[in-house]
Amino acid sequence: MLSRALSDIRYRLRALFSRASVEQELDDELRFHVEHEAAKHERQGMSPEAALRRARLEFGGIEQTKETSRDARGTARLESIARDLRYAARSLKSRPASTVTVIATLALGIGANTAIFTLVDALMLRPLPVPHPEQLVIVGDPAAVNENNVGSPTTDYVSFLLYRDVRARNTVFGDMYASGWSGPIDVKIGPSANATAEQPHARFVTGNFFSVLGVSAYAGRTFAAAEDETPGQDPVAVLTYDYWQRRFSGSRAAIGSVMRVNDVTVTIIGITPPGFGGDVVGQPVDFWLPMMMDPVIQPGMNLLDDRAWSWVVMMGRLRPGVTLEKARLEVSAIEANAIREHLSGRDLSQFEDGLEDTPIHVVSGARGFSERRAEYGKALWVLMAAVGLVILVVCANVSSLMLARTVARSREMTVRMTLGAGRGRLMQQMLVEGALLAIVSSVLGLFAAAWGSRVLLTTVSGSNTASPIAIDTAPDARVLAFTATLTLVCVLLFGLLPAFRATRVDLATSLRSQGRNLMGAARVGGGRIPFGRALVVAQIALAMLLLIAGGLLVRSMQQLLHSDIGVDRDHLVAVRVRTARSPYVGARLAQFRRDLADRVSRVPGVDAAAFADHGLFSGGLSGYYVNVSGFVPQADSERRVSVDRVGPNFFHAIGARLIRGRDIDRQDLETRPLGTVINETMAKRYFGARDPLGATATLGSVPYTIVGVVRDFQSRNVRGRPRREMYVAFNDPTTGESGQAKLSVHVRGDPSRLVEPIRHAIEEVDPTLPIVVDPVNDLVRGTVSQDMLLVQVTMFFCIATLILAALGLYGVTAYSTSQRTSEFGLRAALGAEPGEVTRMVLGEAVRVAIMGVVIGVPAGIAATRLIRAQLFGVGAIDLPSLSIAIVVLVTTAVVASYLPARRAAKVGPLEALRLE
Amino acid sequence: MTEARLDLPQGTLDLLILKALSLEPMHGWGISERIQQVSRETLQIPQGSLYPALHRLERRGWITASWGVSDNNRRAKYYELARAGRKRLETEAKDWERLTTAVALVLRMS
Repeated sequence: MLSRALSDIRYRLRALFSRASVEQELDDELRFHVEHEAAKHERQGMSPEAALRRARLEFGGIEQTKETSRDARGTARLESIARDLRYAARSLKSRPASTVTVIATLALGIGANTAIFTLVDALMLRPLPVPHPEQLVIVGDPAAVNENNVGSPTTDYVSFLLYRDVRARNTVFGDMYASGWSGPIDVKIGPSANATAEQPHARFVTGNFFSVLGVSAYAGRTFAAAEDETPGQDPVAVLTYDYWQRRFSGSRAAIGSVMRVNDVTVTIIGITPPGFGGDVVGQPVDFWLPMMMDPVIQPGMNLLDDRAWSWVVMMGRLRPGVTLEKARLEVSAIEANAIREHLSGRDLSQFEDGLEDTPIHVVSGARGFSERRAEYGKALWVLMAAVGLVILVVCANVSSLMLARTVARSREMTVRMTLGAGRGRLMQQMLVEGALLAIVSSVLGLFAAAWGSRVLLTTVSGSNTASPIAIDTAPDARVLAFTATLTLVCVLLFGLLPAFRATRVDLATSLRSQGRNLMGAARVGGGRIPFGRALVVAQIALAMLLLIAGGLLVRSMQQLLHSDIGVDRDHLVAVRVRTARSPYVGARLAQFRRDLADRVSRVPGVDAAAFADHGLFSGGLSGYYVNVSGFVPQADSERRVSVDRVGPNFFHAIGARLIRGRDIDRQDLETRPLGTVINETMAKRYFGARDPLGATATLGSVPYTIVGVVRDFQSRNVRGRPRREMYVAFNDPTTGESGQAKLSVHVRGDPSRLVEPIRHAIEEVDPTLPIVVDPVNDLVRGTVSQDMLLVQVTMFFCIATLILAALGLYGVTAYSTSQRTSEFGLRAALGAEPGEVTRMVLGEAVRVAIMGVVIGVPAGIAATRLIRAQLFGVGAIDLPSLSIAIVVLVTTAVVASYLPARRAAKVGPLEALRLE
Repeated sequence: MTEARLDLPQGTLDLLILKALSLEPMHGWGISERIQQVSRETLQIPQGSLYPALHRLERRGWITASWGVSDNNRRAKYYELARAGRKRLETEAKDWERLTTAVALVLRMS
């Protein structure tokens, strides 16, 4: 069977590619036959001529036999396609300008789609590069027990002890692992003691991390289970292939060598295979350390024994035959029980309530963990929709170009059909031409996409250097399949339509009208011009739709960047000093904070400086339960507040407005009860019409006296709804985030000019600590980086679509005016002013544009409902951006049709006559 | 050329070609001559279908073709039975026998 198929293929290939010699052989063979037959007749006594005639007669139609023999070769169809391909290549080469335009346009469309899809694929669709990813299951934490943690309340984070409990009791997984980000670490590589510290990205993982994922070492080995049993005992590390290449140039000698991680000497034992980037998609990772090394590498954090610290993610691999549904049921029950054992009283009842609202999170882990997915996912889908529109416009554009070309070839078509060529045959030829264009373009598009997606990624990462987005943008099979499908759809969209139109030729009228061309209007195939015009209307409508969406996004971006967030954002600088592994702990750290604030406030140009635990846009957040005198809560959730600890003059320093009472002052750090300022939202909730000043708010067992009420301000992101916030005097050096000292600094003039002076002032206090100084507006911009990306890329596509639509309109107008040369000549002869003709042509173009606008505006308004979640501070119908979009579009239409209109006006009577 | 010649029943041409080639490699004209001779001029191969049939059999891999020199020193295309073709011939011949026997039985029915 196989050998037969092979012989078949070999035969057809030979027939296809050495067509000439195969034909020659057939010819020889048949001639040989006839001559032999003639010789036979001669031997029987006929004259040579008579014998040959007889032989030929007996044989029948030689050409017919040849044709049937060709059919028997089974390559007729392929041969005709090959002929069409050669024909198409020749015909495309003869019109280089329009061919290049079409290919460039298509490559842009296909490239843009592939680029965005590459990102969608890498971030949203691609499974982890491990064996049987479908068996992996993520087990998270119910929101209810997750108040004090490093992630947002509804993520995948759990505490290490909870992981241990669940793993020990689990019934559905072959095994489970846990992994957690190391936090900022200092790594020194190389023998010299004063090698510069680097900050690569590391994760602590349990010893079975690689075995559960099924990843084996590319070189060296991965962790053994025993290497993760005793805290601090096994200082080993496994590197990613990329980090090994980047930092060790891929040298084998790296394996067995050591690096110092936070001054702990760690031996490199192995490298993971290329392409494996860990279990967290979109976040960079350079190496892995055993979980049990955490207490030595990050001393004092106590991450392994504290149930309140939800900082690891856990993943299990299902036993064979266990479904995700079964796993969900069993693991949820196990985890809930494990949590219950460590809760009591109100916490327990709150947990039970919470569990009803948000059950334990057990989902497929095939695609790995990702916060980036939630962060960028929606934006990516919006972009995907935008580029989808772009490709439609591209197809409409190419379609009208092809149509113009086929109109020019209508004579050829008519003649060929008169001679008996089937319609299918002609359509095949046009489709082959379309396919050739599309394939060349998609190859170019693939290259453009590889470049484009990398540029997009670095643009986004650029604004977020602390944690760049690390995803693999190398095109995989799925991306290639996507591009291939897209190309096919394009061919059908822009190839089939014109092919269909062009071959719908009324032979009789068409032949008759070929010679004469009196009133110029294209008569062949009657409806061709309206069809071309419909394509332009469609392009303009699509461009309108994109412009409306783009306008809304730009307006929303402006709102995000310049809205009032309740503080004097244009004159603020945020300072972070890392004090981890420095002598500044406890009371010394508290004193250090005071010293820093004092020193920085003396810098010329600085108005005020205040320290705080989290401060502005540091990303930090603490949640607590509060008891307020005179307020009886109905449920525990009513007691939840966000808390920041702030130093003297904090509100003055950030430019927030105190509505009542006073700022935190130096006295508040000493006297008891300590002072606190609450925000408006909190005051309204707990006091209503009562005066909050002088009332007591208790956190845990510490009472605070309310000394002021501040107007709500945003300190973490621009979009969030104001929460109940409480700012307490920062006096207890044992509370708050350790390892950091943060200042908020109010400056005069441009904050970026004071970045360096402030840094120098801090270095005077202590030159050894890492310092980060940022204008607050830069940090705000960092929180909206994905919005920024969305806006920039959408604007790029808007402009591309606009140009395409303009080209389309130009093409159609130019074509129709050239067809109407004689009409314009006639009008000129009858005394029409040139201006009238120009106005007429422009008027027609504007009518087309307005039709596009009329269709595009409602479509755009309907479509932008889908991006409402991305918008900030603008309604679904935003008149300013809408009117700008319409004006831009109509202006573009006028500009695009001005040239052809001018040319039409210049047509004189003689010129028109000459055409006849 | 006396008696009326018979038209070939559908599908038997392939069988005849395969059989003719099972004896020795031959060129197209030789095949048609051989069949005519052996059938005592009863079977006339329609020339128009001989070559398409040869090409079809070659594509299927049942026969192979090569160029050789004929008895009168001319370049000719010789066909040879391939292994797959020999197997094919066996089954087709067997089927043919069964068919003719069956048809004969039915015709002899009284």
